[in-house]
Parts: sequence; structure tokens; C-alpha cells
Amino acid sequence: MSANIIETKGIVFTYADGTRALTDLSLTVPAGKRIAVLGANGSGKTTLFLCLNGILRPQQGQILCGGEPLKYDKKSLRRLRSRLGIVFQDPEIQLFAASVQQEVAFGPLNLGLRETEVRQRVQQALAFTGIEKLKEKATHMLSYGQKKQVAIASILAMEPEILIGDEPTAWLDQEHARKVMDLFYAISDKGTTVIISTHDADLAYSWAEEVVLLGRGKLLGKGPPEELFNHEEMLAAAGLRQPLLLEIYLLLKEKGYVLADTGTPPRNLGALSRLIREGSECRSSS
Amino acid sequence: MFMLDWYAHNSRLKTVHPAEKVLFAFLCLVLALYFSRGTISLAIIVLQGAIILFYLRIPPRYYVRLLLMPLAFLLPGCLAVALEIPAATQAAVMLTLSLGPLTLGISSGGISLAVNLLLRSLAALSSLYFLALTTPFTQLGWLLRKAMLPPSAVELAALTYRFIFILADTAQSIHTAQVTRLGYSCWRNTFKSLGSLAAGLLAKSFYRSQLMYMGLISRCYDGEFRSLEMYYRFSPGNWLLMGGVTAGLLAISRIPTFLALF
Ligand SMILES: Nc1ncnc2c1ncn2[C@@H]1O[C@H](COP(=O)(O)OP(=O)(O)O)[C@@H](O)[C@H]1O
Ligand SMILES: [Mg+2]
Repeated sequence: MSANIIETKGIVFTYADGTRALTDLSLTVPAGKRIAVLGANGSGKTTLFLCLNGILRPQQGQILCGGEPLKYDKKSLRRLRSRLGIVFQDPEIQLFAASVQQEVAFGPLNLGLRETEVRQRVQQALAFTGIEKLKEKATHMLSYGQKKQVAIASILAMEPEILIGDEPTAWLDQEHARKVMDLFYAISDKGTTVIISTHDADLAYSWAEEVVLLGRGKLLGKGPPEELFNHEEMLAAAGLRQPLLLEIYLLLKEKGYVLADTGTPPRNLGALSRLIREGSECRSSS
Repeated sequence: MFMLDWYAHNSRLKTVHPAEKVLFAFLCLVLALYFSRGTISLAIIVLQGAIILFYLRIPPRYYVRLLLMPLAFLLPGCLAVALEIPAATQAAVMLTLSLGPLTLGISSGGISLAVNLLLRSLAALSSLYFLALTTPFTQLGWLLRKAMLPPSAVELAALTYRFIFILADTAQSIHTAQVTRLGYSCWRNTFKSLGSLAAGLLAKSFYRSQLMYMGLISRCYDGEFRSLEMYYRFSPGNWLLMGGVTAGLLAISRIPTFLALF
């Protein structure tokens, strides 16, 4: 397998009404990483994902999957979609089957797997997402958070190499949002490449290993969160702010509350408070 | 109507073989329609009522509401049956009603016919409600497929079923959005709002169906809705019970008429 599992080369996408959603976008996605596509509303995140899945076809440029240029015949698209699954933003739209079990089985059945294998995958996906209890329920009777979990399970059951989540925490309460992000973390731990989109800098900062910054359909920057979020002008151009945690850290560092030479900034609250504690111990001992 | 669906999904008889439930409902239906006798109808109404209220534990108020809904059609129909234009020589007329040149009469025969019709309809209705309250659509769809109906027809029915909920949901959210902005504060507004609700519903539904299609093709949908096979087992006890009920109803049909009305 090549290091870049999926790659775009200068893709341009314009909607039928003339809206240019993606402009000359070149992007590489390393295999096995956790990637966050960060951008304000309307910056082209959803459009990018639909292009990656072959649902939309860019007017210019090229998409490479596993090093091979994407072709748009039925067979190639099928292959692509069995390797790359999308959890759409609104689970209400993704769910169509009458029961949870049938919903989760839909993808694997379309892959042409045998019944025993499909049942096994359904079971695994439901167990992994923690919704075994909902198996026999009707999809329209679930809560919004549960629908989201079913939508994730329905893609997981297809066992894609790349899993894309479009704004996975949108409209979820804190509890469910945390659950979903933990889930995406666990999926990435299994070796799957996980890409999410978000407009939440805090979320991207704490979760991702690599952040892709989009603004008005253009690539504004890319890199590990510790580096990328140092460029305030770049974030401002995308209509976003620095993550709160990073801002606090930088402030504390400036005022001398944390050691100045700790290298990488903290990615979560625990790491920050450790730094503060170490800093104060250091000062009291000197 | 959405509660009906909820009860079916949480019914105590949910795991029973769908064919058995359908058979039981149709057995009662056919018996009620075949024997045009009030006693049979009454027996079925009582039997189904007892099952629905005491075994399935459907709240009585809800069940009464379910039965009352079709009465809006039934009662005028029965009234029309009871009324007749009496021949001048007819003696059996109990009551006459003159409306200008028209004279309407009610005879005991007419009343018994109307009561009979009402009871038969209620018996048939309660049998169908038994089915609706115990058998979720997934099971009916499964049964229809087993009955060799074309799969595409069954899938169409299943999608329609799913879309009813999406449509109702969309309509609900548009309605709420209108209410919060005083869309129904007076007659004028109400008409305007209802109009834009209908238009908005169409546009939104179209948009949603497009998105749904994207969701399907992203999971390798190729025009055929595949679904997992479901397994149900027949239970000898249920068949015995159904046999018993049939025998009982047939026995009732042999009882000599002891009430002139029935
Ligand atoms: N179906 C569509 N038709 C026309 N324009 C669209 C359509 N979908 C999205 N757009 C436009 O494309 C741009 C990018 O949208 P989108 O990819 O949905 O952004 P994001 O997901 O980052 O919010 C926006 O300007 C949006 O208005
Ligand atoms: Mg979007």
C-alpha cells in the first residue's frame, strides 16, 4: 500500500448553479491517520467528501485512491465505495430501512457477502458502537443520538479502509458528541484511516493527528495541530479562532506559569494542568 | 397513527410468526363478514377487545379512540340504511319523518339491518386493529415477500412506509416554524401558512430524497434493496388456539336466534 491512501490533485468543483465549491484543491491523506478537515460553514467540506466518494465528479483535476486515478465506471465506483465509507451529517437522511438490523446489513449485503458473514459483521458493528440493544428497533423510533450511532454502525459493517465522518458532532448533546468522537478514536485505533470535518477548532485540535484547513474551497494549510494552530492569520483567513486550550497555554507561557521550553503545547486539559503544576513546582524549588 | 406503529413494535406478540397473526385476524374478519349475524360479530368484538385490552394492554382510551375514528363514516352510513321511503301500505314503520314531499320512515327491519351492519363493521375493524397492533411493517413486508409478491412492489411499500415518517416529520417542523412566527393567528394567516407548508413540504421532500439517494449509493446501492432473511417459527399452541376460536364462533352461529334484533 502506498503511504497516501487517497490524494487529490488540483480538483475544481462547481455546482450547477455556478457556485464554485472547490478551487484547485490538492491534498494527500496518509494511511492510518486521524485527519480533521477544518473549515467554516460553506467552505467546501461536504463537497470535498462527496468528490472523494465519487458521488460528485470534479470538473478539473484528479483523485487518486491507493495511487490509482479514480475512474467513474460502475465497477470502479463500487470498489471505491467499498473502501471508503461516509457517515453523512444528518443520520435522518442516511437511515432508510425499517429496522436497525436491516439498516446495518444493507451495506454488507450490497458487497455481495454471504448471509452468515453479514450477520457476523452486523453483530460486530453493533457491539463496537454499543447499540446491540437497538438491533430489533424501528429506525424512526430512535433518538437523534442513537440514529447517529446506527449510521456509524451501518458504515463500519462494510469495514472500509477509510471512514469519513461529515460534521459527526453536529446537533448532538455533549454526552453523545463525546461518545461519537471516542468511537472515531477507537475506529482509528483499529488501523482505519479516519477523516472528519468540523468547524470546531477545539475539536480538531484535541482529536486529530493532522489538520487540513479549508477556506472558501481553497486549501489554506495543513499539518499537525500543534503547528497549524500557531498560524493565527491563517485561521483568521478561514474565519476561525485558535483553540481555547492553545490560547490559554500561550497566555500562561507568556506570564511564566508554565515552563517555556516544554516543546509541544498540550492537547488536552490534563496535559495543560500537568504543565502548570510542574511549572509552579519548578518555580518554588528555584 | 404513529402510536399504532409504536404499539406494534413493542407488542407482546411481536415475535409470533407473522403468518399466524395475519391468519388469526383474517379468520375473524372472514367469519364476521360471512355470517351476517349480530351474535358472531358481537363475539368477535368482545374477543378482540379482550385480547387488545387485557393481553396486549393497550390503554382503553386509546383503543376507544381508534374505534371511534371510523365511526365518523360508519354512523352516517348506518343511518342511511335504517331510513327508508315507506310504501303507503307498509305497516311495520315505527316512525315517520316528513320533509316536504318526501316521507322517510324507520322500520324495525331497517334498524336491525343497520345495527347488524354496525356490528359487522366493528368486528372487522377490531380484527384489523389486532393485526395493526401486533405486526410491525417489517413483518408484513417479510410475509408479502414470502407470498411471492414481486420484491420491487414490497420494497416500494416499505419505502413509502419510511417516507410517511419523514414527510410527517418535515411537515411537523415546518408547522412549528410557522406557529412560532404567528402563522396561524387568524384565518387569513392560516390559509397562507397552509399553502406555503404544502409547497415547502414538496421542495424539502424532494431535497431529502436526493440526499437519501446519495446515502444509498455511497453504500454501493445498485437498484436492488437487499435485506437480511428473517426467521420465525410456527407455534402449535397458536394453531390450537385459532382452531378453538373458530370452533367456538361456529358453535355460536348455530345458536338459534334468541334476540329478534340480531
Ligand atoms: N447542491 C448545491 N447546489 C449549489 N451550491 C451548493 C450545493 N451544495 C453546496 N453548495 C455551495 O457550495 C459551497 C460549499 O458547500 P459545502 O461543501 O456544503 O460546505 P461545508 O460542508 O463546508 O459547509 C457553499 O457555498 C454552498 O452554498
Ligand atoms: Mg457540510
